[in-house]
Amino acid sequence: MTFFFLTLVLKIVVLTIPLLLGVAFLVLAERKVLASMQRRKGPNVVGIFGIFQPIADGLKLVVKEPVLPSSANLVIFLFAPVLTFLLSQVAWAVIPFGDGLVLADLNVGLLYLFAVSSLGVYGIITAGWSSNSKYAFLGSLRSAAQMVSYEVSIGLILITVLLCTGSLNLSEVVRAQTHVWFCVPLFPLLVMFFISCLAETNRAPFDLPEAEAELVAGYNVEYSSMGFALFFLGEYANMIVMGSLCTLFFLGGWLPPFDFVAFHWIPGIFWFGLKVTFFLFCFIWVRAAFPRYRYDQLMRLGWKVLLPLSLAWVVLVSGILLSFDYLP
Amino acid sequence: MTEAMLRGQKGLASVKDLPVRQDGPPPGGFPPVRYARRIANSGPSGLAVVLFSSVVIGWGMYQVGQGNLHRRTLKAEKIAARQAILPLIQAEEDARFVREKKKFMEEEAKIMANVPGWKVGENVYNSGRWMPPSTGKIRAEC
Repeated sequence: MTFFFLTLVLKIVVLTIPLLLGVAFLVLAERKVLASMQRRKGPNVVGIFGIFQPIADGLKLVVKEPVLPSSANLVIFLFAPVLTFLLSQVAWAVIPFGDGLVLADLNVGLLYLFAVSSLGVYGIITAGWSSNSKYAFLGSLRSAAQMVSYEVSIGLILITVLLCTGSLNLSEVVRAQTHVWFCVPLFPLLVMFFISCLAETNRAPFDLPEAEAELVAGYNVEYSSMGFALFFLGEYANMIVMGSLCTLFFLGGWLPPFDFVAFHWIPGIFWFGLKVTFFLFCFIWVRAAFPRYRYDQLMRLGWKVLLPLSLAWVVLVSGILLSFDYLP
Repeated sequence: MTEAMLRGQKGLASVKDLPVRQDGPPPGGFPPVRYARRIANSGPSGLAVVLFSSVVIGWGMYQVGQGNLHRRTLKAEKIAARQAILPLIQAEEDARFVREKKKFMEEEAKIMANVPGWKVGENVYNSGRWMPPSTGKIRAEC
């Protein structure tokens, strides 16, 4: 029992620490990529190529004094960033990095992910409410409405993937793509899923709840130092989670792109990482390339474009699978 | 360089072209100002795109279907194999259950030795029905 517990803790540590490092360097990568797209150099002072910039930023946030607003509901105010951060980490338990390389190979992994991503809204709502500031409150309402709207289309898209695999287990979803990655038959769904992921993580071009130039920063205006750092880490960790979901559902997870022998010598985790990195690059690319949506346009896109389209795809795919007796 | 000079459109290329020196529109008016973006209308037609994507998606669905058929046969094979060895597994489990039960009763007898009137192995339920043991090593999944 003790051995089981200790190995579990060790596994969690081995999973979490690289993830947090990845989040830190994702921030640096974002700044570097954005800079390259705008013909700037980006961070290049702290360490070679600015490699220590995220560490310096993190250190600055840790040693800063946390400012607690006198009118805030302190317990909830302090709990909200912790909740956001925890939920972003907890989702990683079911994500398979390779064949069998997963912390908890749940049979209901997909449902678990849904549950966790739905709970993510609560961190934002409680943060905005407990700050007791109208800006934070309005920001949290905007963010929550956006996340809830796009969760619907994400759900329908995943139902389509589910129809093709017949399993809620994420490893099984990847194994079902051995013949062909789902990005080939379900390419429009990949695009829709990617757009929904952008909206779900409040990223550009759907970052209007926290638009820097137009509004005060959104639900996290009142946060400083470690509270802000936790929100920040949580948001970027969610980005990586969404990138890996795109990879698992549409790009064949850890499977190599072609069935060459040489490609099978390379461990699956490398292919997985490569694909996730591609999606993360796309996240940043979109931020550099597209102007921000207006709120009514955002809601229209979510409810009147993506929702009916994904629903139509559920019907189409289930019809094809049923009529040709292709159900798993 | 103005648009008029670039394209040879009618209109004024220079002030010197004016018949009279005065402010005002040139004869025939100013050339049209281009304000709209030039959108290239090259590339494949809509029909071609629809056809091509239908073919790709159709081929992909066929592959998904073949994969599903393959996985279905694998599943059937696994179930058949389990059915074949089910009696063996059940016999092993029964033997294990009897062994554990015996050990359990011996332990109970040792623990309750000082309690007068205690019957070892007596059912704790009032109904005469057999109930699976609720805890301990005697359970199959522990």
